[in-house]
Amino acid sequence: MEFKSKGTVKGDVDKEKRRLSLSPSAQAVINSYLKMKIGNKIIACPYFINRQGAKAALRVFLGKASSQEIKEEIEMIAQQKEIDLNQMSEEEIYQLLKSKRLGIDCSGLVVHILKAEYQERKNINILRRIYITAPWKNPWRYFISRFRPIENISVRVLAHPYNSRIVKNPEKIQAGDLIIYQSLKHVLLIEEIKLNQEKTIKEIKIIHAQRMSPEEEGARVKRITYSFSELKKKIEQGEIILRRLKF
Amino acid sequence: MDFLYQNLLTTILFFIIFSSLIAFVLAPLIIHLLYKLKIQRKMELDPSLQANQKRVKKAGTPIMGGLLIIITILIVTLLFNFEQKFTYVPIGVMGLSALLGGIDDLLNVFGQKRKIRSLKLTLKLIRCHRNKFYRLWLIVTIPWIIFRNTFLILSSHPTRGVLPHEKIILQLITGLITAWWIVFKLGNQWLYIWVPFNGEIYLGYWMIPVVVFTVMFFANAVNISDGLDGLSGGVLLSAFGGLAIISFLQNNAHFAILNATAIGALIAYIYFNIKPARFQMGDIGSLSMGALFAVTALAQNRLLIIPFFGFIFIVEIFSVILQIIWRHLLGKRLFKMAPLHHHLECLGWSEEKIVMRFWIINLFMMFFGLWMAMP
Repeated sequence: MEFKSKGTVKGDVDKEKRRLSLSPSAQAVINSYLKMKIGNKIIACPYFINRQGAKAALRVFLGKASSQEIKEEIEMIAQQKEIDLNQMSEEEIYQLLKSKRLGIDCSGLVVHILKAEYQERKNINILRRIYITAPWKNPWRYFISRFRPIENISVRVLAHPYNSRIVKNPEKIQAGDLIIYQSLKHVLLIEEIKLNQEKTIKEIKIIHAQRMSPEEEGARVKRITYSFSELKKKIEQGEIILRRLKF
Repeated sequence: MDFLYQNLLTTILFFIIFSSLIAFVLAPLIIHLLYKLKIQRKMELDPSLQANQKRVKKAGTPIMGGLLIIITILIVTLLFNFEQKFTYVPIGVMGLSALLGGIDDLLNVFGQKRKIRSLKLTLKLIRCHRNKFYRLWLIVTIPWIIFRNTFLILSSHPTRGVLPHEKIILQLITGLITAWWIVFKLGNQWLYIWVPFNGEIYLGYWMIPVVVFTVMFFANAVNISDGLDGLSGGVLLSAFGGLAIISFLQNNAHFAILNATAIGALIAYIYFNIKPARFQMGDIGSLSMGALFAVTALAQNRLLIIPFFGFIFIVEIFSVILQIIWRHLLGKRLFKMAPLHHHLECLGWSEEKIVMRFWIINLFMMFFGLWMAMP
C-alpha cells in the first residue's frame, strides 16, 4: 500500500533519495514518549501493561494514555503527596511512574503514533476505522469500544485481517509498518528506513515499548535499529511478521 | 408568641439572633463531646486524607459538627415553631436525613470495613455452589446485586459507613415522605409549580417524582460540597438567606422563622468551621441541611429558584457527575479531581480563596434568584 499524501508532507516517500520516515506529527508523538519532561528531568516513558485486567479505570492506569496524560497524572500525584519531582533523579522518577502504574504498552504506543501519522497524511481517524469487534458478536464490547477505542486495541486487533495485511516482500516495507511477533504478544513500529547507495534497505529504525530489559535500563519506550538482514532473518525464522494497516 | 408574628421582619431578625446565641452556647459543649467520644477524622480510615498530603493536617478534626445546627434548629422549632401544617415534615425530613448521616459518620469512624460480593463472584457461585436453594436465591437476588454494585462503582471511595445503595434507598424514603406531605397534606395548591416570569404550571401527581428527586439531589449535592473548611456552611447561609427573604415576601411566618433559625445556627457553625476548622459538618449536617433546604424551598413553592440559591451545590454535584461519566465512558479525567473545589486546589488555588469566591458567587446567584422570584 502506498501512502497517498495530500500535498507535500515532509517525511513522505522521496523518490530520489528513497528515505522513508514517519510524518512530523508522528515523530512528535514518538519524541513525547521518548523524552518525557517530568520535573526538570527527561526520561523515556516506562512500559506498563494491564496484566491484572483492570477495566473501566482511567486509561492512564491501563497503559494506554498519551504522554501528556501520563505527565499530568504524575504531576498531580506528586502535588498530592508533596513530592518534589525536581529533586528526584531520572531513575527515581522512572521507579515512581512504575510504582503508580503509569506507562504505555506496546500496542498503545503504536496506536498513538499511527493515529497522528494517519491524521496528518490522510486526514483519517484510525480509531474510528479500526475493527475491534462486531456488534452482534459482543454488543457490550462494541459499545465500549466506540467510546474507548484505544483501550480495546491490542496486538491481536492490529494483526486482524480487517485492519492490516501482511507485507510479503520485506523489500517493500515502509515507515509506519508493523512488526508483530507471531505469538501476538508484542508489536513494534517502523519509524524510519535508511537506504544504501544501491537504494536497497540498509537499516531500519524501530520504535516500541520494550517489554523486557536486556540491560538494566528497565522496560520503557525505546528506539532500536535493525539491519535489514537481521530483520529478514527473524522473518524467515517465523519469529515476526510484517503488517501494514489497510486504511 | 402572637406578638412576634405581627411584625415578620422583626421576628426573622429575632430568631436569627436567638438561634445564633443558642448555637454559640452549644458549640463548645458539642466540640468537647466530639473530642471526648473521639469522633474525629482518622488518617488510617479516611481515604481523602491518605490521598492528599496537604489534608493530613485535617486528621483529628471532629466530624459531626452538623449536630450543632440540627440541635439548634430542633430546639427553636420545637419550642416556638412546631406547626403541623408547616414545620412537622421539614423538621421530620431533616431529622431522618440527620439520622442517616449520623449513622454514616459513626460507622465511618467506628465501624468495620464492609465488603460487597461482586456480580462476577455471584455468577460464579450460581454455577458452582453445592446448595441448589442457595443458588436459586442468588439467581433471584441478581437485580439487587446489580443495583448494589452499580452504586458502588459510581461512588468515589469505598467506605466503612452506610454503603451508597443503602444511602440512596434511605434518601428515597425521605423524598417519598416529603412528596406525600406536599402532595397529599398541604392541599391542591401545592400541585402547581411556580415558574419565573410565567406564573404557575400544574404538575399534579408528577409533583411526587419531582419532590423525591429534588430532596435526594440536594442532600447529596450539599454532602459532596462539604469538602473545604467553611464551604458548605457559607453557601447554605446565603441559600437560607434567600429563602428567608422569599418567606418574608410571601408573609409566611412559619417558614420565615424556620429559615431564620437555620441562618442563626449556620452563623455560629461557620464561626467554628472556617479554617482552621474546630469541627466539620459531617454527613449528619450536610445531608440534613441539604434535605431541609430542598423541602423548605419546595414547600414555599420556589422549586425553580433552588438552582440559583444553591448554585455552588449544583455546580459541585454536576462536576462529580461529569467526572464519573468522563472517567467511565471515555477513560479520561475531565477535571484534575472532582468535585470542583478539589480541581481548583490542584490548580494551586488556596483553600481560603476557593471558599471565599464560592461564597461570593453563590451570594450573587442568590440575589439573581431573588430578582427572578420578585412578583
